[in-house]
Amino acid sequence: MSDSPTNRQQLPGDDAPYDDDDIHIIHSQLMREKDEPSEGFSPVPIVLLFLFGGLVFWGGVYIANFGGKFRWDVYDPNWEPGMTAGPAVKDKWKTGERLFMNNCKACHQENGAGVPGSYPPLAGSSWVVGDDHRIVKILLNGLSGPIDVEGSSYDGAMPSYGPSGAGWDDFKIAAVATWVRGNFDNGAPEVAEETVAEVRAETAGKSGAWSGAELLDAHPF
Amino acid sequence: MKNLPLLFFGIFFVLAFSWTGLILSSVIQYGDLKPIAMEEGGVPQPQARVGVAQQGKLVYISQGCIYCHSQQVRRKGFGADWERGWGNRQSVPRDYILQERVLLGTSRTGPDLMTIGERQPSADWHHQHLYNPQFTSPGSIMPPFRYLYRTQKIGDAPSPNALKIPDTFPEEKPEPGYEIVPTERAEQLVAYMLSLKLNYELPESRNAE
Amino acid sequence: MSPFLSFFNKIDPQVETKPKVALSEVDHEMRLPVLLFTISGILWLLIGTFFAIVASFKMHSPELLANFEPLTFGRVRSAHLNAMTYGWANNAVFAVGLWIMARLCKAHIRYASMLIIAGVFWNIGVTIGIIGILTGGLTSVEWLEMPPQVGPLLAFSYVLIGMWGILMFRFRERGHVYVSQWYILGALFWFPWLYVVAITMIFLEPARGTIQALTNWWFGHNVLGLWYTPMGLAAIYYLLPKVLGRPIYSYYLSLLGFWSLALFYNWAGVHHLIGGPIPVWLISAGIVASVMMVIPVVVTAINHHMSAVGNARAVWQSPTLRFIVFGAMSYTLASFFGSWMALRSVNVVTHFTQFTIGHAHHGVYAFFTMTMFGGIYFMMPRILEREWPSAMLIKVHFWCAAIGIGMMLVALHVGGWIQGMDLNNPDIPFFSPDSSARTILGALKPWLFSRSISGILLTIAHIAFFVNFALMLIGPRAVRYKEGPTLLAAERKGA
Repeated sequence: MSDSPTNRQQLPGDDAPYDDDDIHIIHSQLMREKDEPSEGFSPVPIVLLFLFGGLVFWGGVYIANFGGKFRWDVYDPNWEPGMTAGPAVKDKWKTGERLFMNNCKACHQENGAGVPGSYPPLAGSSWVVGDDHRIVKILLNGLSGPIDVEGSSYDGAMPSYGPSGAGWDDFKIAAVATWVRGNFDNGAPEVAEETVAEVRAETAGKSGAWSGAELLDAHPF
Repeated sequence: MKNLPLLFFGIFFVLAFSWTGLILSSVIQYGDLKPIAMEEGGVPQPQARVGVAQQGKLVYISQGCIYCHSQQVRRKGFGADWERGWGNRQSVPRDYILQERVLLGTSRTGPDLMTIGERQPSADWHHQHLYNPQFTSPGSIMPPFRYLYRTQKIGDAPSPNALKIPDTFPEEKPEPGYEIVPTERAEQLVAYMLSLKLNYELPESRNAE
Repeated sequence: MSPFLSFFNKIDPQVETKPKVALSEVDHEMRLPVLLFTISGILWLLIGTFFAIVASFKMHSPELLANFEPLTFGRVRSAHLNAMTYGWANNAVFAVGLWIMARLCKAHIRYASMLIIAGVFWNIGVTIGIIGILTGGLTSVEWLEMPPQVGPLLAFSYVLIGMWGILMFRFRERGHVYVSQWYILGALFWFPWLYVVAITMIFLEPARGTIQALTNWWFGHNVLGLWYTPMGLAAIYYLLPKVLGRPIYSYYLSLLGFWSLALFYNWAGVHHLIGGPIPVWLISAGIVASVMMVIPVVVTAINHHMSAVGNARAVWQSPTLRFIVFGAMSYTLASFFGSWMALRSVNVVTHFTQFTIGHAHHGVYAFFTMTMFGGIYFMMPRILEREWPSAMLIKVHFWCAAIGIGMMLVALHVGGWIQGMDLNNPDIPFFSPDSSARTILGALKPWLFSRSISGILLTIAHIAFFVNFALMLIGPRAVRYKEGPTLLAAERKGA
């Protein structure tokens, strides 16, 4: 595609008479460069204006309904004035299950059987049942080094979910301990938040993870 | 169009309008939030991230982690953030005020990381996962970050921070007598991961429930 | 008369003093800057394609080039985005947009050296920026990944180009200001402003907390909305009637389309933060603005359709119109998708997934890039006074690009939707050691793989385009004006 050749400084046939071919080419090029664009003046279809009016109306209603009254501290489109979440219902069992599934399952497995040689089982483990201070201590500070669980030995590192690790509060520690002790046919009683608080205070100066021997000394099976 | 003043004014006005409406109004409305304690004498939250963890954030930025991992928790009932255990409450603007670079992210090819320090507090796990995600997460499509680790000859005794390569990946084990240890950047990045928590409440976070 | 009005009278001289300038003179005088921008744009297109392929393959084969830090996924993805936007798309905009502006102004080109300087600095800036991204200067701010140090360089080039545009307009031939010129003027003014504000509020004086994210998406979305879209629409508004030799259907629709786009697009960027830590009223405002985008899109679609209707043959025959019409149709479809995706009930699925990536390619590739291809096919013969050497290569370019992008859109939209549904179902894990289990990534991988295949098609398209362009530029001069325009359907003599 090209310009009208009459406007170019250098034409293909400038210094020689045009032959038929050239005339044909020039002609087709002249035909090719159409007028510069312009606009017609057809009216806007009336139905469109109704459609747009409706859209604008919808927009206004939407902002009014889901605008959170233009407050900076509202993040839920269905928020109404005076609506604040009541005191959270703390269900230890449900919270415990949720915490286990999202945090513990990766190693200890969904059925609590662990991975032989790498991650010890929780199901039917003497470490889990019995004295509840033991499991709370493990959760708060972690456990590392060789341990013996139901006849198999493990040498890994359980991370801390207490102040030196994930920073869970008493309720969360109690919840997950309760769930692990009550699930997998372990049948051990629940762990109270107060117990966790007590252990936390008792072990406040403890840094680093427990060793298996330390725990068994304090809380034998 | 012949009315050029209108054209120029309109072009100016539309952008000024949206900038005022979206950004300037935000700066005025919640641009000066401060850390706040929920009870008298409590620790004001959020707290600034300092030291190694802050260095790790720079590693996170330069590796482009944000292109697969978000850092925001949506309210319960909108998406499955709550059910997946990514946080107990929605994250709100005040959670981010002390961050010089805000990394909300718009992609969740991988899980959200707003609370990864609470969900996975094990540094060993993070190192294994960074070195080769398949160690801990078979089927993941996260790229391995082996270049954040180096292989060195074992000295008098194995380094305490040497990477534990699972036996199921014999091809990843170093030559006998050698060990793989994290570089400074890997340590920083893991420190940053462990510092990502949302374990406090804010007055306005209740409006988000 | 007030000083305000007299300023505009200076811009809009009422007295005709200049002799008429022929289009071929405009073309000739624009040759150097247009060539500079086009050549660098096409080179960036190839570089960006390379990064795209690497990033795409890495997503399903994470071990690929895994131990070479500069090409880690996060960096190579950002390098792709920046090479394509700031390298390819902006150079294409500078070439096509400014050339259309010059033609519509019908005046002698003044200060072409401003464009040359801007172009050189621009491309130096982008090169430094891309190298910066790959070597660790990545900022992890979406659409602004280049190290902030190149910001002033790019801003300087932008301002030069914007000033040149205003000057061109100042010395134009008096008369009606055509719709393409409104869009180009708007874009030339908007983009430098957006860029400078974004750089300032994110890097120099970071805004507090999530206001940064808000600024980021106000900018990021407006790169498309107030820069590529107006420039793309300006090209369509110019080329469609120009090639067909028919007027645009309705001035009133053009007017409504321009102002509603300018008003609503601005606010729409917040929809990237739906559900995020932003006050809900801002998000709702963004959602409303996104839905309101239906207005300019419907108006523009009708205007284009009514101008082209009944000319299917001409559209099919002209390389320019094939691409332009593909682009215009994609614009309509992508925009409807965008409005729909902004609704909370849809966004809760599509947000955070590949669906969004698909949508971005719908806008930037299927609409904008295809339109720019069309513009370059029209512009280069007039600039170079040569014809496109090969109709076959144009066909390869068109079909590979059209099928490639179509395939990519299907893969990312379907795959992204499945990914979003899975993400919202807490029982489905991201991955599982049990290879038979249903997992998010397991379900997504086949779609990521088809995206890579579509990327190969796009690569073929871009290489065909590059080869044709290179042959036109340096090939034997015999192609010059010997056979008339290169058309795609058999109509011309001896084809």
